[in-house]
Amino acid sequence: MTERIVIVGAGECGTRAAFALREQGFSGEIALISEEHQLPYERPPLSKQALLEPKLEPYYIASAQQFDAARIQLHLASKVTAIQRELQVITLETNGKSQALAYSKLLLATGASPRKLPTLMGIDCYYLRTFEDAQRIRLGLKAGKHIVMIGGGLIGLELAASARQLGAAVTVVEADSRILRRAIPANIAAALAKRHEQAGVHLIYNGTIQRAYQDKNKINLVVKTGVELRADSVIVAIGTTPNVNLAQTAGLAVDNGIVVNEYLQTADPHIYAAGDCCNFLHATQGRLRLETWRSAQQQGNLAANNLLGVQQPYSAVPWFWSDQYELGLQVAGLTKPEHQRVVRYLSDNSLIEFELDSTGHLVMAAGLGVATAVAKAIRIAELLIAKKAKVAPQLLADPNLNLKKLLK
Amino acid sequence: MSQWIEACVTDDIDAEDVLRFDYGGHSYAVYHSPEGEFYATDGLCTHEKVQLADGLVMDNIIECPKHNGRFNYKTGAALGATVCVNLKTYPVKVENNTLYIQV
Repeated sequence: MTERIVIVGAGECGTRAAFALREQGFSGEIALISEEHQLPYERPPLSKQALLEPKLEPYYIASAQQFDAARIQLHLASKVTAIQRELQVITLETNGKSQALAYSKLLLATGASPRKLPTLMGIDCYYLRTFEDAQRIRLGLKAGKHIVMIGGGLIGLELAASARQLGAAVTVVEADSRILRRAIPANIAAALAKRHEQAGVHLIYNGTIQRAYQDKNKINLVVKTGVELRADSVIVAIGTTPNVNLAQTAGLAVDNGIVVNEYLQTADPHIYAAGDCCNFLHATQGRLRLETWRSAQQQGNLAANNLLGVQQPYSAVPWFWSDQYELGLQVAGLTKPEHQRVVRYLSDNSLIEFELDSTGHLVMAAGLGVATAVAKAIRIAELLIAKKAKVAPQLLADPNLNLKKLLK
Repeated sequence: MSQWIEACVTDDIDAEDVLRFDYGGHSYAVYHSPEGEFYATDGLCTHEKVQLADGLVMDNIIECPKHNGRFNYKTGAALGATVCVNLKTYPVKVENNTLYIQV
């Protein structure tokens, strides 16, 4: 029988894995399954530049010709409804028709879904994950409209910046006392919040939504702070939950994601999971679930190698970027409250915040600057973090010191 | 018609580094290799329009500052994964510590 690797989910991770299998010389069949109707596309632009274009278009990861040339069988608008592990067969439903598809290896790259806010049950509000979600959201982003963004995380803030650039009035309601606590340290967060306020965004902190009701075409939100907001559109961006139902039903372990080891392998040796849906053992950071474009891509590549018998652990330094207005944010490593912090001020709204662990090793660097102005420094920091370098705080704070010297 | 354009003074670029240079509405990136040679390529990454001069140079490689696409800046060759379209390269010459590129 021909070998067949089945990949469930055609986001960045699943699609990259499919191409990586061919790049690594796999000659069997590859089936890539997507619940969506169109060719796989990039999600990062959907909250940023794609919204600002005159016409919203998907940024395709690859063309139909490229899928054909790599002999990747793309099953669009298809849903995997069951995995029979003992038979190594999945059940695939397309347009109401069901078929069984055998696999020699299975990769679950099912992604994540926006977390729903129970207070808003029955209220018309938007969540962003797919291209269609972005299309619906885009319609409401215009001058004269008031957009209320619930959640001051990366997606919420990127959407807030895009909405302002399109002329809408924007209020961001954040439940915490500051934005982006999980993702970036305090000084960077403060600089970014300042930029939003300069742009006219109204930021409300400690703002739990207590009650919501609709009248005419407006949505009214009662915030815990006592404020009552009247919105034309409400967008909720309060994080994601991993898509684990399929794995769970098949009896695989699930704990904030599909549980995999450092090789992205589940307890079933024929089944791997990668990307937003998996809770993996990081070589140095312990158990993590990452929700970034970079990790999705890296894990897709790594899963492909390991599906083909290479045993390579995932050890990359977590990294992400964000674009808001003219500013670019880049972060390498994971911020933690117990770390020592050092700030390097570069110019008015450009700075880098570093974190060291209790033994003086660089463990995180977050930079904010115009476009990619801080990219080089953050990339160097990422290499230093990977090398487990100890760096003196005064060197990190000195804007005249070329960080590259620390690499040598 | 091609012409030689003054890009910068050679001291402006550290060894194993890159500098942005704009001319006629077009961005270029000029490089100083670890061996002390100079090179020039288009300034924007072929994947999405990002200024390569904000990226890190390691040996012969320039890395895109956003998605880590890698190019050999001496040949313009795209080195896989995020980037698959090669980078255009331009001839350079040094006269009196001034770097010129032919555009």
